[in-house]
Amino acid sequence: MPNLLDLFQGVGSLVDSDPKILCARLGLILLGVVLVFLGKRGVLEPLLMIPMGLGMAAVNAGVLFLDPQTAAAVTEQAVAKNAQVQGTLFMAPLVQQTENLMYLMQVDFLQPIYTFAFSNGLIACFVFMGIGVLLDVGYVMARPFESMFLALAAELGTIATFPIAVWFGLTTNQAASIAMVGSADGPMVLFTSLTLAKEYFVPITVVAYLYLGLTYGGYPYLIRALVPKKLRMIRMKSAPTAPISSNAKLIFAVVACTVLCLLFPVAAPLFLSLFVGVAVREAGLKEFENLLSGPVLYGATFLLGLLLGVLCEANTILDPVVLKLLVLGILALLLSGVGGLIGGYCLYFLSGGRYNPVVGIAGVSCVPP
Amino acid sequence: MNTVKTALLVFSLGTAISFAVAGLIMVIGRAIRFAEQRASDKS
Repeated sequence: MPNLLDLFQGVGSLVDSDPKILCARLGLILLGVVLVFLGKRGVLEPLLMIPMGLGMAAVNAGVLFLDPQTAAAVTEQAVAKNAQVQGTLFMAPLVQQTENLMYLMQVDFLQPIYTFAFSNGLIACFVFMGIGVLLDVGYVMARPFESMFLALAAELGTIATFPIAVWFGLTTNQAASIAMVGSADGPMVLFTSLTLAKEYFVPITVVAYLYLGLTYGGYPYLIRALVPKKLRMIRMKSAPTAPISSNAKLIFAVVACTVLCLLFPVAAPLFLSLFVGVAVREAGLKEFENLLSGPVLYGATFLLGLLLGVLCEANTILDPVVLKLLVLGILALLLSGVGGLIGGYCLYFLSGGRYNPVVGIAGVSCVPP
Repeated sequence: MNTVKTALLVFSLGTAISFAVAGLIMVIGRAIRFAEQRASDKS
């Protein structure tokens, strides 16, 4: 009579687990289902939450006992023949050695995408290309100081969260990575945490994307709490500005990309990705525009959501630091929203009451996909 | 205290760079508009 727990290894591995891991796996399965539900209802961003939620549920349910060769590749050490090493056939994000990676790319179906597109920031760059195509730089060119002021004000969360995170016991690199959640820019958080705090990039990125999806629901309450109705109702008249031609926007994209890459080469991949999208749009390259704003952007978003969900495997994210990251992430976004509104209020007073302070929150970039 | 100073220093530097970039954007925009105006006047 075959052992049923050996036949149904997902259940067998649950029974065989440490109680903490058992609870974590069941909790994450439930959380994954809830995320799918909330995504479908529109409470959270469905483009990310549906693949992410399903990935989270599947990876925590689909744990099996690995064969000795796969177990040795995943753990990166010698494993006894009868050892019961648990793992999944999705991917192994913590594997470093090339030989083990090459083996796992033939076994784990998401490993090639993770290794060649996620952990090197390529997916983040694809998303930025799509965003560049959707972006109209006209307003920034027409009102550069106003735009820059609001964007700076909305970085209050990033600046203020950094010392608080260090006070919480994180290293400066880890603190900077979690503080980046205040920028409300998903690809930027991914890129920064991969560069500065690779050991925590999974929980930081998952926290960032979860919260960025929540800001759509949460920020209106913040606005209602901090801006009285009378000010919220201010109708702004758009001041006449000289029209900005496509040629001007194209030249701006080229010059800005080059200058910013010169100043900050560490972020050059993201600058290039964003401005190549802008350049494609302003040059009128319709085929490339459709490619970048369609398959590239949505393909990258889909794979990002799926990979983030699959990364939320109980063993990978069960770390006491995750609780600190949860608190710091929400603090960073909250303070950024407050900072944006403060910036809006400054412009309100400087313009003699003609500027609607609510516009300040638009300084929070909030790009979950 | 050091981290607060670091944060304030980064913020000040960021502010200066941001406004410098805004100034650069303004200059680029004006230069492009001037060049376009000259091109349309010539034609």
